[in-house]
Amino acid sequence: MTIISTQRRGSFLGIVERFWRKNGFWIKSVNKDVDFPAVYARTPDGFGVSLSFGGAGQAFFEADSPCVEKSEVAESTTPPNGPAYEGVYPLPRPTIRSPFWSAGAP
Amino acid sequence: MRIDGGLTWTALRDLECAELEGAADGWGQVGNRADAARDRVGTHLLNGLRDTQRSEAAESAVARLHQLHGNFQYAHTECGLIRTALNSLAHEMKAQQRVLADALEDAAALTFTVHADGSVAYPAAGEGLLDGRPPQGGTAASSGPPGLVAPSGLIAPNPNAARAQDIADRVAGAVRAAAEIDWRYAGILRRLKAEEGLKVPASTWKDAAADAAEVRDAARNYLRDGIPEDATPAERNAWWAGLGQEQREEYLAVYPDVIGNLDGIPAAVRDAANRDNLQLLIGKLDGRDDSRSVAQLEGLREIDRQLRAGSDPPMFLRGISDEGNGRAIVSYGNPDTARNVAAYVPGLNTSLDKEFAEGDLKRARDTAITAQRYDSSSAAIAWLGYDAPQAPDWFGSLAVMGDSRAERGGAHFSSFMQGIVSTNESEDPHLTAIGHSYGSRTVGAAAQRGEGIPGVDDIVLVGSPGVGVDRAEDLGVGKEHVFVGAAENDVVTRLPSKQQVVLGAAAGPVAYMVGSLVDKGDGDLWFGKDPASRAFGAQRFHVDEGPRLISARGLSIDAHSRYFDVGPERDNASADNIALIVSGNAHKIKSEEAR
Repeated sequence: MTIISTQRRGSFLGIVERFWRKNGFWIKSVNKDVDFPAVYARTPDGFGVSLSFGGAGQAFFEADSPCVEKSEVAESTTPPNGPAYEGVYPLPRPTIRSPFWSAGAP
Repeated sequence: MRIDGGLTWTALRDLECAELEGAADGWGQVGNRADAARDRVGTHLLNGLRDTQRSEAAESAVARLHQLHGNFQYAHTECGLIRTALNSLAHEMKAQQRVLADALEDAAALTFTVHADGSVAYPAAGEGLLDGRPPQGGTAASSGPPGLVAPSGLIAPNPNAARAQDIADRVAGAVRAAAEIDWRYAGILRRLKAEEGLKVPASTWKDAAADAAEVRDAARNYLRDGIPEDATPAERNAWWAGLGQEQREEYLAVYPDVIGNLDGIPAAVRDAANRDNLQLLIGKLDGRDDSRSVAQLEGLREIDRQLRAGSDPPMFLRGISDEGNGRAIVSYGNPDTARNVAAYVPGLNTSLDKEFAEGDLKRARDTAITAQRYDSSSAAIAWLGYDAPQAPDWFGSLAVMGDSRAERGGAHFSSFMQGIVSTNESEDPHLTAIGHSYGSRTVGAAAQRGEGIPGVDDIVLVGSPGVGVDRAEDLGVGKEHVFVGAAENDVVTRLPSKQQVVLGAAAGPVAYMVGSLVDKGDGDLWFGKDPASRAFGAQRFHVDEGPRLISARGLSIDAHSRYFDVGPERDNASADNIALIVSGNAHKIKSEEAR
């Protein structure tokens, strides 16, 4: 997982938010905190999406569907393109440095 | 130790109670080995298989290992009971040996002779009535249980006669009592037997519940001075810390329901006791057909299912009982080692059932998971430690609902938080009390006791119909540490005050919601000032407005139950804000204007 420095979190969120707006997502609320910023949105077809920051610049992207009947959900058939951290607890904090996204991080 | 033809005093005198205690130790060791094996099967084998293997063979192995796990747990429970039964037997026998020894000593000092049949021979002594010669000696035998034979009034003039009679009665009394003890424990130990075969069905656990009750009844004397139920949580914590390992094991075996629900006892110990309690309760309620037992059983089975499935953050069962509407206190993350600990108090219509075990536990679990994103040293607890009001028609019954449940619940909640303070190992733990719906009134009641809720730094009130005070600063943590979530469309946060209801009683409370009478803008709600109002003075955090009460889809009160939802479709801003507060980052929440 990539470290996103405090300085870059705002622009990271900004890029995502602009993309969402361009695609007709409704931005429901935004937390502009420097350390733990977050944006919450809804897609035109009712899906919810959010992007939020946790400790050490860890980004969480979440999406879920509109209300459906409770049912079994099949495992994803697409393999992850990085470590999945399945069954790893607690989740490790980000460790990978990017020259751009990690700029200014300790 | 039963002797044909009845117990004799010599047999009682020569009884080696240390052998009984040695046998008890042996059973204790077997029990501990079963417990360790249970742990190995549960933590290593089962988790390992589940995490790494996907096949029919693996699934079948998991099922069989579950059974083995249950067998070891049952063996541990029963061995613990046998151990305490034996120790208690030795304890009671020693008391009778002391009575016997005292009587024999008195006899020796008076140079009386105690015969094998318990009769006592005494020498001549005293002054004769007729000739001044001392009346001759004789033999006194016990006249049976005291009180059965009235004194004849013809007292032998030899003073030794009365003394000998007393000794004979004491010897016979000790032997009689010992025979009764022997008979009683023989029965208990005979009944502490498992059914044939390797299965441990619910009926066997029901049997185990009866076993525990029987041993406890018998051992009351032996463990009598034990559990300081009237002490403070800190004192109980000190009591537990001062016990030896063997004593702790005995208390856990015989009183799991008391130890498991005692504030001040470490979380890991309560968890171990309550996992046993859970099986015992399932056994007890299994087969009952009244609606309360059926509902509680479904809740217990769901909690059991989650415990077996395992969880990250790990689950700690901090309380479980079938008292009242049922009790269940479940922590996600270890509340003794986490720096941030939050306890969530549910409200109206909550009771121990499947809905609680699924929905309310999920709220605590989600809160723990999200809080750990901000600070990994966080735990969250679902606290159903009181009887929340049950109102099938929701608002209609609120009119007759007083504060008493909240007041009683508040007292229990205070004690619970004091327990967390006394067992948490962090230097300066950060504790948060979360109240939802009527639960916020319960948190309010706890906050008004004494110095406020023990150890609590921050208070979160969501979906609140009022908390019983009119100002945030009256909750004991400073108004800047009181946080309120009130969805625009959550009618519970807009219940009119009692006064307003009285004025418009004819219309009924539901008419208030539907009509324009809802909260006339003076901020007065059912249980006092609206916590979301400016006048109340708390920090209001942002939550989604939620679905409207009346829409094309009919009547909906969903806006009242979304504060903890983590799916972004429902808007997890509220849940994230709660988690920020819980993790000690309250200054980073997204706030909202007061009403």
